[in-house]
Amino acid sequence: MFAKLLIIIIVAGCTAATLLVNRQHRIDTAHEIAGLHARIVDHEQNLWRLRQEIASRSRPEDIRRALQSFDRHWVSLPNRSRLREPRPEIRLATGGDFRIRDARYEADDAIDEHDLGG
Amino acid sequence: MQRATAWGRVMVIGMILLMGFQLARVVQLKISPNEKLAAHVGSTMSSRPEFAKRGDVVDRRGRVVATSSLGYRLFVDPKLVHDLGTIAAEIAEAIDADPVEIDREIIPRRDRRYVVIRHLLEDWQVDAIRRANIRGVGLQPRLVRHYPNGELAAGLIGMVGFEHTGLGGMEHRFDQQLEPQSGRLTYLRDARQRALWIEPTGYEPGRSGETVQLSLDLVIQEIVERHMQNVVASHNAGGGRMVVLDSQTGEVLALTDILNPREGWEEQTEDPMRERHPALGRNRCVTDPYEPGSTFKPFIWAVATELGKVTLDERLDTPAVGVYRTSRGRRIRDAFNHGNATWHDVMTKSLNSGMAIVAERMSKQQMQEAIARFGFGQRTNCGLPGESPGIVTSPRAWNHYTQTSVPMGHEIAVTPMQMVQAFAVFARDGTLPRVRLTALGPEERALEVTNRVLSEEITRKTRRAMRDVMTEGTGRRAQSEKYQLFSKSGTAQLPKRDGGGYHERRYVASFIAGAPYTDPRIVVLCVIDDPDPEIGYFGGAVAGPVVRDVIDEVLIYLGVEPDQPDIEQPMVLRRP
Repeated sequence: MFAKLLIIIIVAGCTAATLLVNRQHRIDTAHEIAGLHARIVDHEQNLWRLRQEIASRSRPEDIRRALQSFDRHWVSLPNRSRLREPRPEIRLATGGDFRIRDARYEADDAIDEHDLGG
Repeated sequence: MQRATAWGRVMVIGMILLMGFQLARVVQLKISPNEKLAAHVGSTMSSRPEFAKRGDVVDRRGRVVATSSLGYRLFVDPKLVHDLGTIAAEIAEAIDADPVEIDREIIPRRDRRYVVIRHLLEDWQVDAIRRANIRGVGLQPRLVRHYPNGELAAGLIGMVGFEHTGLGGMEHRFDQQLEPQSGRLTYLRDARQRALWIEPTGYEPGRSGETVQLSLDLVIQEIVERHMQNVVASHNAGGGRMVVLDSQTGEVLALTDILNPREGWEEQTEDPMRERHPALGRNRCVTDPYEPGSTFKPFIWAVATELGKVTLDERLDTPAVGVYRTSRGRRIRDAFNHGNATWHDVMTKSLNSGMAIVAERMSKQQMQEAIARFGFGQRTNCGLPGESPGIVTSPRAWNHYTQTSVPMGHEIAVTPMQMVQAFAVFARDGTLPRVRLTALGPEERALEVTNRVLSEEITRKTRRAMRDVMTEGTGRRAQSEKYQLFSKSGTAQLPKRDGGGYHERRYVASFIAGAPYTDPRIVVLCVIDDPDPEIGYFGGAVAGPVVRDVIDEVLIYLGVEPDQPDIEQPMVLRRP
C-alpha cells in the first residue's frame, strides 16, 4: 500500500516536473520569438534609414557633378545612332592607349563595355 | 515492521498535506494576493505600438522624393529622477547640449510625468542616452519625414505636419493612401520587462502606407529649376514659371514656380505662406492665371483655318505702316509692320492685325467654342490644390473688343498648366491629353480616352507654321542646334492689380515650344513675370533661350536623337 502510494507520488512528481519543463520551453520559445520580432523590426527600421540616406546621397545634382568631375563626354545610352559615314580614326599623341571613337559606332556594343569609371 | 509502516503512512500523509497546502497558497497568491504584495505585482501584460511607415513618394523612375524613418524624442519623467539638480548636466553631457537650457525645461515642470527635452535626436545622441542609462530619462520613438532632395519641387510635393499628416501638395493630395496604420503588440512580461508570452490575438501587424509614384522626373526638375533660377536672376524678374509636359501621355515631367521679391518695385506678387516654408506656398502654375499674349494665337489660328475662314496663302490687308482699324474702329497695332501678309505669315511674324481680320470673320459662338475646345476656362484637374479655371469673358459680356482681343491673347487669362495641355494638341494628332501629376500605369495607358480637338491635317499645318516661327519669325533667337522646335513667343503687358488697365513698361514674357518637330515628345512653357525692361522683355528674347536650353538638356537626358539635319554626333572616349 505504502509502495503504491509512493509510486503514485513519484509518478505525479515526474509528470509535474515534465510539465514544468515543457512550460519553460514554451516560455523560452515565446521569449525568443519576441526577441526575433524585435530584431526584425529593428532591421526594418534600419532599412528605412538606409533608404533615406541613399536617396540623400544620389540626388540628381550630385550625380551630375560626379559625372562632370570624370572629365568625359557622356552620352545617354538610348541615344545611339547607326553608322552613316566612314569611321574617322584619330589617334591621340599620348601613345595610342586610347582611341577617340565616334558614338555612332557604339550602337551594337554591350552596355558594360562603356568605360564608366576613372 | 508495523512501526515502520506507521511512520511511512505518517510521512506520506504529511507530504500530501504539505503539497496540498502549497497548492492552495499558490492559488491564493494568484487570485487574491494581500495589499502589500498586490502593489508590487501590478499588471503582467504590456503593450507597445508597432510602428508602420508612411508611404514613400517616388518620381517616375522610382527615385525617392519623400520617405519616413524612425527617430527618437528625448523626454524626462521628473517623478522618477533621483536628483533634479544634476539631471540636466547628465543629459547635457550625453547629448552635447546646453545644461542651462535643459534645466529651464525640467524645473518649471517638475510636477509633470512627461517633459520633452528634444523632439528629435541624432543617431549618436540616441546611442549616448542609451549608454548613459539615466533613471527617469526616456526615448520615445516617432516617425520622421525626410525630403532627400531638399527644396527641389517642394511646392509640388508639399510636406507633413507634426502629426505626420500631409500639408499641401502631393503629401496632402494623397494623404489617405500614404497614411500608415500602426499595429500593436500585447505580451506577458516578467519582472525584468522581458517578453514571456504573446497570445495569438496579441499581435496586430502595422500596415505601411502605399507608395505614390509621381509623373515628375527629378533630373528634369533639377534642369528646369537651375535654368529658371538663372534667367529670373539675370533679368531681375519678379518671378518665373515653367512646365515640362510629356505630350504623348500628358504626364507633367517638371513644374516650377519661382518668386523673386525686389526692393523698390511696386505691386509685386507675394506669397506669405511660401516665406514660412517653400512647400506651403501656392503653386502659381495652377493658381495664378496670366494673359498669354501672342502664345495664344496658334489656337485661334488653327480653328479659323479648320473652319475655312481663311486659307494659308491668302493675303490679308495687314498694314505696311501705322495701325489697323477694325470694322468697329478699334485700332490694332503690330510690333513690326509687314504690309500685306499671308495667313501663314500672320503666325510666323505674330501679326495682331492679321488675327483681328480673321477674328471678325468668326462668330462669337465660334470663338467661344474654339476657346472651350482647348480646355480654357476649365480646370485641368491635375490634382494640385487651389487650381484656377482661368478667366474667360462670359458670353453675356462678350463684345467686339473681346472678339478682337482674345485671338491676340488678351482679355483672357490662362494658367501655365492649361497652356501646356492645350499646346500639346499640336504635338499629338490633334487630340487633347489629360495632364496628370502621377505616373501613368500600363493599364491606364491602354484605356486612355482622349478628346479630338483638331483634325490631323490642321494640326500638322499649324505645327509647320510654328516651326517657321523658329526659322523666320520671333523665335529665331531660341533656335536649337540639336533639335527642331515648333513654338510661339508672347509678350503681354502686366495688368494692374486693381483692374485699372496695364502697367507702362512692365511685361510678362512667355515662350512655349514642342520638340522634336519630326516626332514631338515634350512641350515646354516658360513664363517670366515682370522682367526688367532695361535688360529685355520680349518673349522670344527672354523666355525663348531658356526653353531651348531646357529642351536640349531634357531630350538628351531622355535619349532622344537630335533631328537637326546637320548635327554632329557626339564623341565618346573609350578604351580599345
